[in-house]
Amino acid sequence: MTTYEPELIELDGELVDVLSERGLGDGLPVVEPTPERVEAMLEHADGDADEVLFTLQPRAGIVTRRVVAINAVLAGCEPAVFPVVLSALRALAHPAMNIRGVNATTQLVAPMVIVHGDIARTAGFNAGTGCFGPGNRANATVGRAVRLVMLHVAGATPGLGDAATHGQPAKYTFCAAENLDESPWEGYAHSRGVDAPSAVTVHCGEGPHNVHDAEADGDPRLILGKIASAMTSLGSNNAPISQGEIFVILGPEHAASLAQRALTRRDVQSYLFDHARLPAEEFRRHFEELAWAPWMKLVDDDHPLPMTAEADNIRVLVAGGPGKHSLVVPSWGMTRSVTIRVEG
Amino acid sequence: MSGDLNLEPARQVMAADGIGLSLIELRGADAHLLLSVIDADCAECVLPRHMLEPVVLDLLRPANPDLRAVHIVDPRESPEPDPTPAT
Amino acid sequence: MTMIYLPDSAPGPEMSALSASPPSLAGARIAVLDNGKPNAGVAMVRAANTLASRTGATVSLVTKKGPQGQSANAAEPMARDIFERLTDEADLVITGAADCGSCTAYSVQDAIELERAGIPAVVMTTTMFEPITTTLSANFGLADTRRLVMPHPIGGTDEATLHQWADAATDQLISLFTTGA
Repeated sequence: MTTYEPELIELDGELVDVLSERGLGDGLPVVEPTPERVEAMLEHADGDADEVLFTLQPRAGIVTRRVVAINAVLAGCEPAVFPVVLSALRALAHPAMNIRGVNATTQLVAPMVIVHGDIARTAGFNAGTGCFGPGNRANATVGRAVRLVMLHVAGATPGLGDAATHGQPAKYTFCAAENLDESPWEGYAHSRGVDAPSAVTVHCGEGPHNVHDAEADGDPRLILGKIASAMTSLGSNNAPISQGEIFVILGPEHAASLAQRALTRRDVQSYLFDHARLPAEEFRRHFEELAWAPWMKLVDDDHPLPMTAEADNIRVLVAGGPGKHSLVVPSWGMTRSVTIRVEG
Repeated sequence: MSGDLNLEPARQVMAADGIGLSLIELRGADAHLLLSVIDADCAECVLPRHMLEPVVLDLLRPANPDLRAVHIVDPRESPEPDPTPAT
Repeated sequence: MTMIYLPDSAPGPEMSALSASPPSLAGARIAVLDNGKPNAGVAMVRAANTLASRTGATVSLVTKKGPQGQSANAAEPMARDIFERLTDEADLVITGAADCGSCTAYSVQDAIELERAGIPAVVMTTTMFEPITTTLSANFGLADTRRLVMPHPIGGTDEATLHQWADAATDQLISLFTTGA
């Protein structure tokens, strides 16, 4: 086993200043990662604290459980959420995620972390009202810990390893729990073949786009029609890159309206695939380079093309509280989401 | 780390490379070892120290589960210059 | 006095994964990359030939690691022109022998470079050096290198015995190329 030990220093001054001088931190106050706090975090780890697990690009910084625990303490995490932070980072290190591209791009992409199952409940995550913020400590700090590791380990420092033109608020934190209690369908992780009591999904894309449909009767055609409209943007990277997924996070009321009309998750995917479309000619006019599936290149200019190559790329889950809103989260494009079991 | 260090698992493999390992001292869970070249015919077979240390650690860990790190004193490396200025 | 951990970590080796394993070896071109250790070529050439006769693959190249295929120190990476030849003339490579410390390091390094170039590469090591091959694979960024473990030692063992060992290892070699394990 290869091991790595992070550096221990004597704190001289305010930690936020010490970090700033070293080009570290996210600009917000932090919690001092003392050995005692880090050990308390590692109580929720399974395995050697200093075992090299993987590296994160573009800087190829080494990730060990201790390195993750340090950043989790810094972010203000309580120890019970540690396995979620570690598992989210494992997902980000998966080759399919293309973390090098995700971190380095000029687009404002941020990892979105969705927590599924038992740990969402036991560690105090919010799946309901305000799940994407603000106010819930688990949601806020897990998202922040992931970002701090991107900054400190992966080297995604704005202007250096991260060229995002504007950045975005979701680059501070972007984490919520799936609302399994109010989902009419099978849990998202199970639907992706991850059969575990607790799981985490990471999807790299834009911030959430709101879709508000408050029409009477909860007509699925109106709800899904508006969602399709929000999905159909030439400014999103899904337009020129057909392998990209599009996450649709249905509020419970919208989900209930759809399920009451006997729509399954697959029905929702199919309807959106069929309706979130633009004429091929419009894509061709706007983009010189199109990273499209071969079948899409064959169609005539007037053929309405979907925003992604296949219906299963439209990923549907339920989160949030009362209210007639849903969210669309487009992809950065050259990345695939990863869903894995939560393990320490 | 309590108890003696069992060096045998590493000794056997290192002997196949013509080198010997002996314990200088055990400081907490860190083992400080001395490398000696036994079989000069294959001096270049031996890994450089920075590669050898993690290899020896992995060889020793099954028999010494509390071992944290291995530090090797390698006579092939030049000793550090004496920082004391000559008078 | 408050002690704190710094949250950044040192850069490590770039992590790689095995290249895609072909489901069948029929028609595949196998190269032998010989680091010149005693009997390395004898064992690997036999293993490659036996595999070829079993699967319909062909042995396309047998070469030493040095420039223009000359002998080279086993404690060095393969020459650049040899790497180019392998990527042009081979679909699979078997390399070794990883039966000493530094030749293991460089056999593993060569195998990882080939895997990164999309060529499945098996490292021939021995029981004595398997642990070192495993540690160095992880240290160099590809923990799951394809490793063919032969009895120890290869150097100093007679040819007939080496041929027996190589033939007995054919099933394992096929599995390493086609599944990675």
